Amino acid sequence: MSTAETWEYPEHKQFERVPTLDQVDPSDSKAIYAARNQKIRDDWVKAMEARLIKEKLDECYRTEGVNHYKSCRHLADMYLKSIKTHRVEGFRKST
Amino acid sequence: MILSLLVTPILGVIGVILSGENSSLQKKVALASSLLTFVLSLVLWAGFDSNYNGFQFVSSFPTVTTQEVVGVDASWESIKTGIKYFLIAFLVLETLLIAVFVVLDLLLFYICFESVLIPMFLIIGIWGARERKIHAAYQFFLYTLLGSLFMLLAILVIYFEVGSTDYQVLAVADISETRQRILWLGFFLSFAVKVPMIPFHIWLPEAHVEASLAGSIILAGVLLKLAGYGFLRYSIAILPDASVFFTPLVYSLAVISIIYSSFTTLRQVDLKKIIAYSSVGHMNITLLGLFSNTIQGIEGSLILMLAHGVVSPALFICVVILYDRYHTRLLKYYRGLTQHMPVWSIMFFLFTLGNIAVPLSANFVGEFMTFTGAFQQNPVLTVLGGLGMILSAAYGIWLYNRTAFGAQSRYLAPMGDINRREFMTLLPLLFLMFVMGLFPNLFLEPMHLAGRSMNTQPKH
Repeated sequence: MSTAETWEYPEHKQFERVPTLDQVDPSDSKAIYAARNQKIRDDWVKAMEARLIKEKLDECYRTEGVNHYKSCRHLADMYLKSIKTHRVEGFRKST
Repeated sequence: MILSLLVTPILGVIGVILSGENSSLQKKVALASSLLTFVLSLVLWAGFDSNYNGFQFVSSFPTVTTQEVVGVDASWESIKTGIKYFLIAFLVLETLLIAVFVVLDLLLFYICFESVLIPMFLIIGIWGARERKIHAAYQFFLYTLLGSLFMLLAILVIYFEVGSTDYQVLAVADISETRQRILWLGFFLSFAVKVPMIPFHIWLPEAHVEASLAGSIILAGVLLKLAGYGFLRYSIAILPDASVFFTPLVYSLAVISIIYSSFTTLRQVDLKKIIAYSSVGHMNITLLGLFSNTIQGIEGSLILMLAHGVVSPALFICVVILYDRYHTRLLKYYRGLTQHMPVWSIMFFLFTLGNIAVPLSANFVGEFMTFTGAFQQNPVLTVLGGLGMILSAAYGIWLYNRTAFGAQSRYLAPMGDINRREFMTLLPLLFLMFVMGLFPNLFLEPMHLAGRSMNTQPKH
C-alpha cells in the first residue's frame, strides 16, 4: 500500500488511436467497442480541457484584479465557447 | 474476486446449518459472513480502475452488502422463531442480489431477478408481524412475476434475433427501432412494477408494512434499486432508440407517481407506510434522472439510489425501534418522544433531513444532479417533479413533528432510549449518508466513464 512518502504519479496511459464509430466496420464488435471507448475518453478529455481553461480564468481573475475585464477576456471567451462545445455527449447517435 | 463475493454468503449458509440449534452462534456466523462479504466488496471498490471504461469487477455495490450486515444486525432480537431458516433465507437473498448486479448475461439477470422473489416471499410471509403478511407476500410475488413474464418474452425475442444473451454482444447488436419499442415495453412492465411506478405500486406499502425489519431494510435498500439498474443496464443500453422514444411516457408516469405518492404519504397513519410511500416518490425521481439522457441525470440518479438505499432503511430501523417498545405503528399514539428518547430523536431527525434531501446529505447531491439533468430533458415535467422535493419536506417534517415534539403522549409510558446495538446499527448508515453528501466524488468518480456510455447523442 502506498503512503504519502511513497506515492508516485500514476503512469500516464496512452491509448492507440482507432477508427472512429463512423469509420468502423459494423460487424466488428471489438472495433466498435474500441471506437466507443475512444469516443468516451475523448469526450472526458475535452471536459477536462474546459475545466483547465476555467482554472486559468480563475487564476487570471485573481491576479489581474480590476483589470480582469480586459486582461482575461480571451480566456473568458475561450471558456464560454468550451462549455458549449466541450460536452460529454456519448457515442450513441439518435436515429 | 466477484466469485468470492457470491460464495461467501453461501459459506455463511453452510456455517448456519452446521451451527446446530445454537441460535446465538447462528446469528454470529450470519453476521460474520455478511461482514466478510461487505469487506470483500470494499476491496473490490478500492481496486476499481476509474479510468477504464469496460467491465472490471463490474458493479461493486457496497450498499448491497452494507444492508445485509445492517439487516442481520437489526433483526438480532426481533426474530424469535425459525432463526436458522431466517438467516439462511437472508444469506441466500444476499447471494442472489449480488448476482443480479454482477451478471453479464441477460438470461442470468432474469433468473437472478426472479429468484430474489423466493427468499423475499418467505421472509415477508413467515416472519412478518400480522396475518396480513400472507396477503402482502403474495401481492409482492405476483405483481413482480406478472411484470417479469413480459420481460422473459422480450428476452426470448432478443435471443432469437441476436443469437446470444451475452451483454457484450447485445450492447453492439443492432435491433431495429420498431422491434426495440416492443421489447422496451416488455422490459418496462417488469421494471415499472419494481420501481414502483403508479399504477403498479400497491405491493410496496403492503410488503414494507408486513415484512420484518430486515425484510423492510432489504426491500427499501436494495430491491427497489434492481429496477433502476435494470433500466440503466438493459433498457437504456441495449434499446437506446426506444428509450429515447418512450422518455415522455416514463417522465409522465414518474411525475404522476412522485406527486401522487407524496400526497398519499401525507394521508397515512401507519409509520412504516409513510416511509414506504416516500420510497415510491424517491425512486421515481431516480427515473427522471435515468431517462434524462444527460451525464448529470444518470450519475445523480445513481447517487440518489445509493443515498435512498442508506436513508430509507435507517428510517425503517427508527420506526421499528419504536415498534419493538410500544407494539404499535399508528402515528396518533406517538408524541413527545424527544423527552424520553432524545438519542432516537436525534437519529430520526438526521435521517429525516436526509430523506428531505437537505444539503450535506447524500440525497441532496443525488436529487440536485437528477433535476439538473432532467431539466435539460423536459423542463416542465421536471418542475412538476420538483414538487416532490417540497412535498417530501412537508411529510418529513410533519412526521417528525408529530412523533418527536409536543407534550409526552398519554398512551405511552417511557420505555428507554435506543440501546447500543440499535445505535450501532444506525451509526454506519448515518456515516455513509454524510460521507456521500460531503464527498460525492468518492462515489461519482467510478461512474463517470460508465455513465456516459449509456447516453444517446442529441439530434443536432
